[in-house]
Amino acid sequence: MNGEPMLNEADKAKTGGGRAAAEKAGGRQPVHHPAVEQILDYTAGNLPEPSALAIACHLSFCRSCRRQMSLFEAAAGLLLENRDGAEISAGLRDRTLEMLDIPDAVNDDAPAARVAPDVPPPLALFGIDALSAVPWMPIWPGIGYHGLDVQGGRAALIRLKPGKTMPRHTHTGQEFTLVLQGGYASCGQTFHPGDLEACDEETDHAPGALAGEDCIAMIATESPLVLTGPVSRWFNPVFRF
Amino acid sequence: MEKLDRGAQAELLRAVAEARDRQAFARLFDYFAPRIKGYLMRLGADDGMAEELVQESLLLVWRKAHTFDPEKSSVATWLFTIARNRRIDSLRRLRYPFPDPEDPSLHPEAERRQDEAYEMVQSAEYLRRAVAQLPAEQAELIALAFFDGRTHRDIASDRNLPLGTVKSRIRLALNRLRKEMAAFHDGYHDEKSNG
Repeated sequence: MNGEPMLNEADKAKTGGGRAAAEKAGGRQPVHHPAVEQILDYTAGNLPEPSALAIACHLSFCRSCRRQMSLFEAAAGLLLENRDGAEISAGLRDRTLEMLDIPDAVNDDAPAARVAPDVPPPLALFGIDALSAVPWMPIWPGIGYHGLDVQGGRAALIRLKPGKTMPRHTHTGQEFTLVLQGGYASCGQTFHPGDLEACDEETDHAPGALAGEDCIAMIATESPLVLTGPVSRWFNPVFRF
Repeated sequence: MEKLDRGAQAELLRAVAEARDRQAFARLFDYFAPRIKGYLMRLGADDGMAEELVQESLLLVWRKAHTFDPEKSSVATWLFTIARNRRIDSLRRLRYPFPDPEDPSLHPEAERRQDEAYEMVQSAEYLRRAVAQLPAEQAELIALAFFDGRTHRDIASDRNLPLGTVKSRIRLALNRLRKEMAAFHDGYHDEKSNG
């Protein structure tokens, strides 16, 4: 995405400074986390893209989950050392040594993404570098939507006006919601930036944005959500994302 | 296979970073290349693809040696994460992001840095002991996740175990690892409040 990626001061004040500011202030850490087994699945590289994206974004807010990830990685590193290896072809080492000084011998990982402080860096992979620059598509009164191009499921950013409630719905599989700005209430709990809510077919809810500012959240699911309200059921065909 | 202790591994990597020492690089290659190849083949790569990824991973070691922080991880763990990321990047061509260890917003202050660097090199011994002492059923879960590419749900159905049993074993394993680290670092009480 082109244009000015950084938020202006007014936007910063509006968003409360976002992820980076919260980290710098040693401020609020998320209270709703992925389960330990989901962090293991993620760390080992075994999740489909939408769930991996949701957890990666949560980690960019959450010190304690990054620690859990580090512990699993450390254990994997130790296990790697103790496992039997596979024989390497003669010559691979010498060929590698010859390539050491060739600058393009290996494509480096993407350079660290430059994103606004309110955007988790993983979202830059999907063209999002500032929440103020998301091209929202209105899909419902008071609800904006922006689809993210993931494989193996669906992911999107959703913006709810303050006090606006999502149509009541359930899910046909695992769904993650990660708050980026503002907050919402669901099933008697409140969710704020960095908080991750995991829903599945057991969850039938109608999350409502808290008062104050727009609530912006990322949702990621391996399957479509299903509207369950009496009227909104009719919208299922158009609301399926 | 050759034994190379952790201190020696870190010294070799430092020689690569600071002196661009090819001999040191060759020794790291000899030690880690077969292990990484084993890891990749176990996850389904054929011989050619595995060696291609081994080569890419080791080339990244040469290129990124200066970013290795011995206070934050062991050489084996660092190399493991490089190989894992290469595999995800190259084999599956998915956009599967991991936190960028060089992202300054994740480590904005010295104080935070100290706080985060709780896998310090001295504590590696504690962690090694913790991993060695994990009950077999817990260590196996971690191995199945990392080396066989199985999710916790896959493991439950493969082994015909209730999902709750798999989850609680993973939790127990993590708690044990965490406790060893906490025992090493006085005053580490930042237990997760949820999940």
